[in-house]
Amino acid sequence: MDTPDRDPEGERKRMDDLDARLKKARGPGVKPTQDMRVSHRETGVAYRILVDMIAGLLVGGFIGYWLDRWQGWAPYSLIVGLIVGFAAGANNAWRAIRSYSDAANRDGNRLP
Amino acid sequence: MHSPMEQFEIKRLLDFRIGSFDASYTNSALWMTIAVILATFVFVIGMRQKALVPGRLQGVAELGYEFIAGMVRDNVGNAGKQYFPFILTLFVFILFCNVLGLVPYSFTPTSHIIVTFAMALVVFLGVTAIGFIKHGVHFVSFFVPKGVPFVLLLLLVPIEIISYFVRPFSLSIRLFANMLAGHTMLKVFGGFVVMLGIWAGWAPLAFIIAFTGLELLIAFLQAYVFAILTCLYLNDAIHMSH
Repeated sequence: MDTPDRDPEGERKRMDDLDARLKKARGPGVKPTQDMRVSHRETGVAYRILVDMIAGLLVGGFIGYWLDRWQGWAPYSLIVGLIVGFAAGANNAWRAIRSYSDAANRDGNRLP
Repeated sequence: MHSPMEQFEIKRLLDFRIGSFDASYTNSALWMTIAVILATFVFVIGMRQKALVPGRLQGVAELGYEFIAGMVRDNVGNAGKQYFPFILTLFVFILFCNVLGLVPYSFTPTSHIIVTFAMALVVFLGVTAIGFIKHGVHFVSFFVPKGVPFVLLLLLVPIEIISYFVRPFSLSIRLFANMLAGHTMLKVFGGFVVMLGIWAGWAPLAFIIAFTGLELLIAFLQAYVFAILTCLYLNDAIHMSH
């Protein structure tokens, strides 16, 4: 602390007073910060899942295309690559959704 | 009329070569430098006072610190403590790059996939290395789902491996695409304002104002998503849990 001359008792009293006033100003029963955090988390999960699936398709397709060019297996490795890539993307998305709903179940009924 | 993609052009500010390797100092590098300097300023100057009741700058620094500390604690647990500085640095760097990109006439380094992919690759290689260091060869069993008949494993193991290798791509594409799309959108609607002139230009202008608010949220959210996914990948590597 940079001001040791101030008495700690008065400081605590001031903090308690501030706490009480903050509580009063926020109103009864509402916890705005909590709600904000949950909604950030949900939006974050939504952003994850979309790109997970697209990236899986892109990576699988790219590997397939590259194998086609390299080994001359056209077009079979591209087809297999796209299918496996889609499965991988769906797998990632599924895992994200599952871990999210597990957490939601654990923390009580957050999901509607 | 300017093209909406013109804002993403890389310009050489200082020409510099190492042999045939082009290591010029570009506008992208300049804005990354500004982000690093500003972030350092907030944390070093903000925490210099170490007051019990924080001032504005200290409040910002403590908010960022506690936000990431809570994230690492919740998602990785105590084992993640030693990686906290890296994740905080990553989060703050991306956040500053994203938010500074919203300043008019600035440049957004995170709107280039090579920048985001480099960061994602560092995370991916680092996490994989941590997995192999912590568990040795046993880490390979991460790719083998438990309680599955052998025939299905032939199908599932390649899918698991590709799922794993998709990670750096999804991590980098997510950040880069969000930044690119948002900034292009702002520029396109800016063009509408000019085209429609003083009579009808107000509608797109109002949209730009609202959209800038959304972009600010996305700038934060994408830094948050990048950091939390790094935490989750780290957790996978340390605890080997799906």
